[in-house]
Amino acid sequence: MISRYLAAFLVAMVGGYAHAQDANADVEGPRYGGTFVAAIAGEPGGLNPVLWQGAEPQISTSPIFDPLIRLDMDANPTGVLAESWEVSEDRTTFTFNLRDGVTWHDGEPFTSEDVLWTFLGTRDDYMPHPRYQSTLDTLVESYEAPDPDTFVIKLKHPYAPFLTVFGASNYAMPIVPKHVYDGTDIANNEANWAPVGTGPFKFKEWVRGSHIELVRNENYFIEDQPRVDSFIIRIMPDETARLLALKQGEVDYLYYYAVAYNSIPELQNDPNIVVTSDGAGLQGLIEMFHFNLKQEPFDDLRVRQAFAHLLDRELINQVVYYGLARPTGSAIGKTVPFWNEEVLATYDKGGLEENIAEAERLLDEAGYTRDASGNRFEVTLLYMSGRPYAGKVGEVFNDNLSKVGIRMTTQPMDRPAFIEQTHTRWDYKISEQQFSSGPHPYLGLPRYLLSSQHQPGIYPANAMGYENPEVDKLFEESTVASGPEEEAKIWAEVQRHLSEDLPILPIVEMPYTNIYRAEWKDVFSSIDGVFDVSRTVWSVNGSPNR
Amino acid sequence: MKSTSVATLAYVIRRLFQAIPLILGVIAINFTLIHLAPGDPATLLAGEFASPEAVERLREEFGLNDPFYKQFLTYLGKVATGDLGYSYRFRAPVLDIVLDRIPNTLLLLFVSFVLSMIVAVVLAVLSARRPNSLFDNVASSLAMVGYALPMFWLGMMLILVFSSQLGWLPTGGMYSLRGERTGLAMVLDMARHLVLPATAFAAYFMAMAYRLTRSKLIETLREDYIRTAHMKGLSEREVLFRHALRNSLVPVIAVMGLDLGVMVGGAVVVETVFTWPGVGRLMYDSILARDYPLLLGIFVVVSFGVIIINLLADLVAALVDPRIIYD
Repeated sequence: MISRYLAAFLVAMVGGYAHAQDANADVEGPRYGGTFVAAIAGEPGGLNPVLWQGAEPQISTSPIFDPLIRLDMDANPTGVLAESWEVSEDRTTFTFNLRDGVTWHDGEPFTSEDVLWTFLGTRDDYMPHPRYQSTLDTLVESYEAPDPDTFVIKLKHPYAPFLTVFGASNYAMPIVPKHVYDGTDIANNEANWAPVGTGPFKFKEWVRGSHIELVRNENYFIEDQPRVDSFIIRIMPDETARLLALKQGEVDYLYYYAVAYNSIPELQNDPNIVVTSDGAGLQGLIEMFHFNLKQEPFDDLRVRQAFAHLLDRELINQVVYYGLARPTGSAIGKTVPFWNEEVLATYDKGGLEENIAEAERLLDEAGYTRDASGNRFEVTLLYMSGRPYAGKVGEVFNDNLSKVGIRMTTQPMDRPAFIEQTHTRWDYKISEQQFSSGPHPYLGLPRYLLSSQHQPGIYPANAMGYENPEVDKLFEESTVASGPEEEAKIWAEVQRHLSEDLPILPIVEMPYTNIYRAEWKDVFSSIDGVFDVSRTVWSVNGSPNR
Repeated sequence: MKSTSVATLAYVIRRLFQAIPLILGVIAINFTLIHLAPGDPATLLAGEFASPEAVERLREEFGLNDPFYKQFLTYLGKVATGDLGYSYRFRAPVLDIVLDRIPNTLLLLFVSFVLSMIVAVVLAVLSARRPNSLFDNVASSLAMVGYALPMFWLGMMLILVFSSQLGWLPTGGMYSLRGERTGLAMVLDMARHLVLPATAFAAYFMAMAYRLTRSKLIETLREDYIRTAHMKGLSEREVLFRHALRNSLVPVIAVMGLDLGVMVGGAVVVETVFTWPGVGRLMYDSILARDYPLLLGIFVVVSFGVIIINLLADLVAALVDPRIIYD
């Protein structure tokens, strides 16, 4: 907490110091050479791109490994290890034609055997990709490698968004070398810490606690990539230190969760720094309250409705998020397919007084009447301590709640303790959570809203105890929808149900404030490429020729 | 002379044996505390989207399903054979990971320690010669400030002034990542990176060592034997350095040795602020990751280190004052 305020203060002081550099905008590119430096908050456990998932491992492994396809800036699938692909008439068979002449960083040839072996790692559980396993793999009938240049995926039934999800950064399967892993103790294979891939950068060194250094793969198979000579990932746990290093030019890139929101307004005025939501498409990160539906007082819909009436999202956005977030009542983010806010039940009676009156009425009706001193009940909002803004959301919300006699205190807990309390022991009444709804709502929503996901010990899960058979059915139906139109109808229904049942109360869609130094161009090459920033980036200070 | 070295050896062996129950205590208390803390490392390790089976498999792999006493005994058995276990997160032997980081922390500690001792002793001598003079008052006030400043805040301020505003020194890290990292250039570069963290670290110890040395020195200068030395006609310099300072430093060394525990706490803060890849940072990271074996391993190695360094401090004190061993 203190460090955040201090950060704002420090940055404000340093701010006046920045001088505009020469007009970067006029430089023709791309240019070549140089070192691009990104900073991450925590050290990855390892650099096997399948076994270690999350921002920090992904930012470190995405330059080393390639998927079959990825998404371009407009969310269209584009080939990486796959040169092209065909979809069968019945939309269940995807045939990928692999690129010729690709070699692993150790010189061995890359073939469809590597691809097959990687996908079977998840299917047969010898090297599971957790996100892929619980989502796409369940839709797949079979994986086949009929010849060295061809890889075929057969689905159990048609699934409309298959290619989009298959290419999305969090789900795309990075292909790992069979010859390095097969027949070894995979979890403890040395390559997990000194990886061998096919990607635009080769692993050079990992100095624990300091940095990971990658160098250009001179034989990379995509023409004109990469442009820089090396890519360094620095491990910097302190938020203020990261920001000061960026201002000093010791670091070039910070992705959005590595930056404090209170420093953004000042950074936006700095000509040396670019603040952008590019690269954070399809994330749809929604900040929301979760109600424990199995306990008083939130087992009563009227209490949840009263809370919805009292939630002033715009005020929270201004006070807590510096106006950078997007107030929303939907569980789906704006850049995620089938976002629809028109169908939502609304809880605004026109003004604060009317909303208070309505909330009072609902609470009285639910039997939570005011006692002699005017109080109805007290409740504690649990939130994750790494997200101090979550506590501020609770404090701002408490202002309105206190007007109807509810006292809400806020309690931070560190991540493991928070998960255990809310998701393993279900020992909470209201908690603040943040889940991604992308890259497609089918991947974002069912994992924590499906009734069968009410299981202890996994995260995210349906810790609310929400059970609506109709919603369960809609989730199921969405996978076999005939096309985007039918899908849109299904997801509109889901959003409407959620806004009426209120198992969760969405607050805002989070701001995406990626920042980088202005001398760098083409940092992002994919709509969701926030963790894959090295492929096309170049510096205006680079040389015009290789 | 021979009897002295035998006595010293016996003293060292006795002290090392005394360390065994201490380390056992450190392990028992920390093992219990860590396991009492809420949060399941398996859930954390498996990450989002993991199936319950995957989480269960991890619990099984790391023996987290065994009863507490069994986990404890297994751990003790391993420690006895020099095996500090396997880090959950890095999937590597704990001892290797910790030993890898120790030189970085020692470098920082050593530079700060030497820096703070030299400055502190020089200032203390100057102050003690003329107590309550202007110099003494200024130095004592500054020491008070240095003692009171939080290391975290001081670190940030140093970065702000010397890196951000003046641009003289890097904001953090151990060496520059862009450019050559070999030979003399690397040593100089590392020295540049050491200045700010070592200063942030040294401020507290400098202040403490100064205050201790000064008060002890003033006390000593009033002793009869000092007056005798003066009457013998020894120069002021000789009295000050040969007689007074030597005797005053004994308690200072002992206290500084005891304060190593504080230094470890300081290392966590300073290494985090300055992105210094040492043991302090490793401790911070392993707490956040609930990496129990790594955290415990750090405690074991650090407490062992503190015991050894305390022993060394006592031996140094004994060199200065041989009576210590025979007491």
